[in-house]
Amino acid sequence: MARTISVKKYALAFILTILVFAGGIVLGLSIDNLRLNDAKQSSLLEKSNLLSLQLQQRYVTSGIAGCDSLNRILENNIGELTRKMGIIVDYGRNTIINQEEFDLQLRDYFLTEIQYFLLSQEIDNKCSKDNIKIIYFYDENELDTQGDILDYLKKMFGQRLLVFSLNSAFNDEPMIDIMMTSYNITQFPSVVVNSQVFRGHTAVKELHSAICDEFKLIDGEVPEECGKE
Amino acid sequence: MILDTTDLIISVMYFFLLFLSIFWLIVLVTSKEDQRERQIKRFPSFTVIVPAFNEQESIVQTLESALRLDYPPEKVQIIVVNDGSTDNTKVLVEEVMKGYPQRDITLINQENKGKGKAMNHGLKFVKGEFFASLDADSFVSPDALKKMIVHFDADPQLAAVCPLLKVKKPENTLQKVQWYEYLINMFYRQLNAHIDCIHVTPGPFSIYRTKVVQDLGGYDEKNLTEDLEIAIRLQKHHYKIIQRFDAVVETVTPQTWRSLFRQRVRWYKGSIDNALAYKSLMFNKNYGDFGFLRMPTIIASGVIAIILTVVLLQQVLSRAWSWLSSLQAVNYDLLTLIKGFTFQFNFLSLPFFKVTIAVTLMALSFFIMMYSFKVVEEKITNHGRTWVSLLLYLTVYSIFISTVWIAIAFRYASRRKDYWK
Repeated sequence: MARTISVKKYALAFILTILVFAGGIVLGLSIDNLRLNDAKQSSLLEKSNLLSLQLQQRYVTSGIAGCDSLNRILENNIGELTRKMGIIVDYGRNTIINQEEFDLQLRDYFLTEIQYFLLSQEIDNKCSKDNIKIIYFYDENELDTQGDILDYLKKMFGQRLLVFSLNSAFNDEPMIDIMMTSYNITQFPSVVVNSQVFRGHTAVKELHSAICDEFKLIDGEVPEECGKE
Repeated sequence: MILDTTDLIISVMYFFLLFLSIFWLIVLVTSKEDQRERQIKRFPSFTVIVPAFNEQESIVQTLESALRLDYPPEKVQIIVVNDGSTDNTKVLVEEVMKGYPQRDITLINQENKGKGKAMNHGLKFVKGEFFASLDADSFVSPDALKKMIVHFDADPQLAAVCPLLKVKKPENTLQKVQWYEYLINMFYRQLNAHIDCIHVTPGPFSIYRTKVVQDLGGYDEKNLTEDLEIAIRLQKHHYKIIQRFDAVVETVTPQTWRSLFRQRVRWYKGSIDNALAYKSLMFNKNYGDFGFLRMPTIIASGVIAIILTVVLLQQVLSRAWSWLSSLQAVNYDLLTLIKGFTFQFNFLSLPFFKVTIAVTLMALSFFIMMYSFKVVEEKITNHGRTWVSLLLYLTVYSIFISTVWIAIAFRYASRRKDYWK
């Protein structure tokens, strides 16, 4: 029996396989650009939201804008910003060619987040304090469950807990350094609950207790969630 | 994006799997083998060898299926090799012999020596120009012999013809799952036949040219998959093996995961052992596609299954560990996590490159599966089979087969003695 090697079939299969792979890569590149546009669009939206809130808080003293609605908008906006940041981090992790652009976008988000933090302090000055602010300094290269603990506390206390996450390894942004210096942060993770600083990994119990103490200072009584833990 | 080692390994594996899927699709599209029924012009003498070890549950039915073959009875010889059965197999065979005194049925009794020796023992008594092995738990359809034997006259290099194997009355879910597997495997065997790459002539009713097998020295008695070894030996001597879809043989398949696991470890380890024993055929241009594709993929399929399983397992365990650590950090307060759960999905976050490759692979596999059902004129949900059993075949069964390969790797690594020896 004469035996043959199906060279043409192998060659065709190889070419088609390369084409499918190339198709996957081209699709990946196109999606990468779509992601970048999405990130830019979101960034623009977040900035508009911030600007709107900044303008609204100027009218609080005159009584035109209400503190309650201002706080509600602030809490919603920060929740949305955190969600978008997660997406941008994800985009940056999977990007094929747009790493620099995504880093820039992320830097923009961190700045917006810091602006929100400063704005929330200004709102506190004009209105009665309504929420607990937590700043979470983390190192993305360190495996830690601190972020999970904060997510859990956020789920427990809801919108009134504002969590601002700052990536310490993001050394492109001097403002993050300034924040770290102002709270004397030397190790990661570190958590600031209003003005109380917890350095290193902090257990859920400690943070829960600190949050409840802060709520007691604001409201005079602790929320229902403080009975848990 | 930095491609880590895991991603690289998975990409290489996917490339290879995609290449093979596309290659088989090309073989399917370009092949013109005729599966039409041919008219038989002569009735050569034919022998069925039935090796039997403790087969009291099915031996009578098996023999009756051989006796009912639509073929001149005087041309059919039946040899039962009782391989040291300790049950009623011998008595039952003798009763069948009494019931058909006019038929040429021989019972050979031997000490338990294994299937290879039983087949060789039977071969010594073969009178037929062609013979078939028929496992004692398999049942041949009456028209199968005529439909298969007719092909030998057309091609003197043809040494073996394999039938379409189906699972006999799949009752439990595991058997239904195997039903899908058998049909798809049969279809792939057909594709293999198009490029002379069949590497196994299954025990249930594969028909051989007697002289060829005798000249090659019969069965390898020490081999744990003698039906695979004989096929590779036929290929080594440049004989042809074909696969038919119109000749149906039904076989009983394992009913429990444990027995299936043991069967598959024996089969797959046997295939690796034989591939290594015949390594001189690998990438040998004298053996065409059989040397360049079939032989290497016997080993490659195991290696790919093991690597993909290990990578998948590593990822699953790593995620499970991370999830458990997170839970531990919040004192296992699942209730709060569930209450605060919000479903978030962002379409653009999907890994599109991986999705493209995976979708293409799945689409090709699904097409081949549907096409194979069409070819054998079966439906996915025939005879009590359900979409659930199909889903199990596509998911759980793949994981099961991977664990079989991992068990084999451990056997090689630990040099453990085979339990079936």
